[in-house]
Amino acid sequence: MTSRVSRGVSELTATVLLALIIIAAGGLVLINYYSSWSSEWHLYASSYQKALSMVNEAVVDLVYGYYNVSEGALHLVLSVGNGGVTIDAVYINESIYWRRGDPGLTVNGVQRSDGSLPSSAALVELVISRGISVAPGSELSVKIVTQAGNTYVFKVVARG
Amino acid sequence: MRRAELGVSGVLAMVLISLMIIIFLISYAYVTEQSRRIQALMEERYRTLSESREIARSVSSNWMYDEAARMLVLEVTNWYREPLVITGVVTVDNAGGYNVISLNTTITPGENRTLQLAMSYSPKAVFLSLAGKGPVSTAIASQKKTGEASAGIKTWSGGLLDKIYSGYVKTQYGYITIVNSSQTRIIGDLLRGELAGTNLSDSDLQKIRERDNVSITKVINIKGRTTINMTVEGTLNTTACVEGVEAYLDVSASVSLVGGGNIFSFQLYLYNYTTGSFDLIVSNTTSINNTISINYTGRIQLSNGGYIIRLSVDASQDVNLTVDVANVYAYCRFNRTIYEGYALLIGDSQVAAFYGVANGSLGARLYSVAFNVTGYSLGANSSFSLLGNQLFHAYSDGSDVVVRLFDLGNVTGGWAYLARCAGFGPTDVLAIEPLMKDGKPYLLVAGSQRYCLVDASNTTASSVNSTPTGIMIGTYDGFVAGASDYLRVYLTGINISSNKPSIFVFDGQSFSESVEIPVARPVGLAIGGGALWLMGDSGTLYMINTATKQVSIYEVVLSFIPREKGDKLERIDNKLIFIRGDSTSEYWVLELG
Repeated sequence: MTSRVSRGVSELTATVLLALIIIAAGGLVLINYYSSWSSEWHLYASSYQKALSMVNEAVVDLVYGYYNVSEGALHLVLSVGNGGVTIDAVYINESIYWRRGDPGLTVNGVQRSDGSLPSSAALVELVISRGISVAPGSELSVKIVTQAGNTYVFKVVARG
Repeated sequence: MRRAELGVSGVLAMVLISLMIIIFLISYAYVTEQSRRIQALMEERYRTLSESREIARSVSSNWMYDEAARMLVLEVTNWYREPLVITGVVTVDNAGGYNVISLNTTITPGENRTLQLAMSYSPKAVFLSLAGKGPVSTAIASQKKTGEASAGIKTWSGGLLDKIYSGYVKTQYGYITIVNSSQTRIIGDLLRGELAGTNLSDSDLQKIRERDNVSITKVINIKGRTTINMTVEGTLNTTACVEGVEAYLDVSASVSLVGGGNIFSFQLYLYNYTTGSFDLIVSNTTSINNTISINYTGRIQLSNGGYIIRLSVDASQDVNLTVDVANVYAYCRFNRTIYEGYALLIGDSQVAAFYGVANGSLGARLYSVAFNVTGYSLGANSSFSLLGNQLFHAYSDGSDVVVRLFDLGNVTGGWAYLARCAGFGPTDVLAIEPLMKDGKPYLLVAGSQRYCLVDASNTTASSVNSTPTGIMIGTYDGFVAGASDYLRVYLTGINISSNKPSIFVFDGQSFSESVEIPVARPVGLAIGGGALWLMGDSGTLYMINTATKQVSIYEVVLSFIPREKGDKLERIDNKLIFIRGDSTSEYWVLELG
């Protein structure tokens, strides 16, 4: 009698243990999968949000521009479309020239260190005074990176 | 107990597996949908940027500075499909300084707007900032000048052709002599006969319609002086004739009379709708009481309208009349010199049209010749050339280049096969230019790194040669321009050794010389006066001295940037003519200083 009871308890214990092992293993697999899927989800969600921001951001085109060596200032006249755009950084020949928050940027004659440009279609004059050493007559590659992630590359000439 | 345990374990395992499958399917669907949406956004972004380029091309503008009023007068035309906003103007002074004028002026599609802006100086260049619904763009306005010299170009002016040319547009200037060319086309589908008020039978009419030879005999008793009206009529619509073709009525009528009376006149008339009277074609008169006949075969020049032929018999006694009206035809007959002189050939992938040139000015379109070859894109794998009265068309069928000719002296003759450059292979660019060699006409057919010299008067297949090492005809993206002074052919391309754009010179034997050029994408090459004239897709004009190979630069800022591929610059007398193409009918004349 005792031995039958004892066997019954052992079998019950084994069954419970087996169930716990299955639940634990399955749970671990699910957690692991959820974790990887969650990161992928966030990646795609962030990619989509970034793409959406890029599309919704205004388009920028260079109308006229040059680097004034004596002033140490980059002059850009930009045609900006509807939707608003914020300049995150400006590179000259792939070297950082100005980044959002830095002083020295004027938009239509007004100091604007946040890099924001008008939100409706307009012709905008940017002057960024951050003197660098360039030879007059040299061709400079100006790259504008916007907050939404759009990149525009223009060629300008350095004038004395 | 054992079974219950196994059952619980199985259910747990199935629940877990189902959960994993559901989560996997949901995540897969989510990721797929997100990828599709991101792709759609990227396409939207690309479309916006493409539209920016289209806007720049679709706006024509020019400016003039009014010294007296100290005013910048700007003319802008919107050829874009949507309204555009001019958000501002940037003027550049001689020192390179600039002035920004902000505007918010909307111009609707097709609208031409004149803006007057106060300005204290005459600018060197004027740029327009344009905005559509999403895209923005920049257009360069051309300076409108009147007669003053500017870097070798005295003046330039624009005009409109009577036809729109699109895609790759090519031009060729040459001397044409077309003498007594002929074509025949029957016009008017019905000639109806009626004799003395009695309609011809249906079967007779059918025979006439089908141009069968038919003899229609009617015996009529005529008493006294009677006029019999035999009419053969129909609406001869001469507008069905092609351009430059005159209409003629060929009449071959025979009439005979047998009578016992005193017939004294017998006449065939044409009713002339222009003068409103019957014009006598032929007549016969006799007093002999016997059988007489009248036969006429001739040609009458027609103007537009309907025509009636009338037979008039004036008899004093009864006669028997036999009439054959079977051979009355109306033709468009092209048998005159339609043009002799210089002409400019302008063509796109569909058609080549001839425009007369007199005193250095472009005249009216003479006529057009359709290429009638589908699937071939002019410039890419098809091109044309002009040599004397013969228009040559070459196209690559992927394995060979086929050269056809169209004899302008026989406009109904159509295209005829000339020769085949067997084994030429597919090519990204194809140019064909004429030249004379040993007193005989030849055609240089060249594309990428192959060429063949085709005898223009011989149907023999031509051997295909490789261009010398380092020479590539045309650019990697399909721009090619050519010119010929009939002794040498000049073709643009890439010097592969230096990777520099160049002009290669073919002297009838080989590519012997080359000139480096500052133009990555040529859209026109012309020769004349010891110089080559080259226009790049940025709109700058270059003169290259063919003797010294010295390159001079002429800034010609037209009211558009010549972007589209083509070979559309010609030197005519002391002028350069540039056909814009770009799905427009614009042409520009640059008078050399």
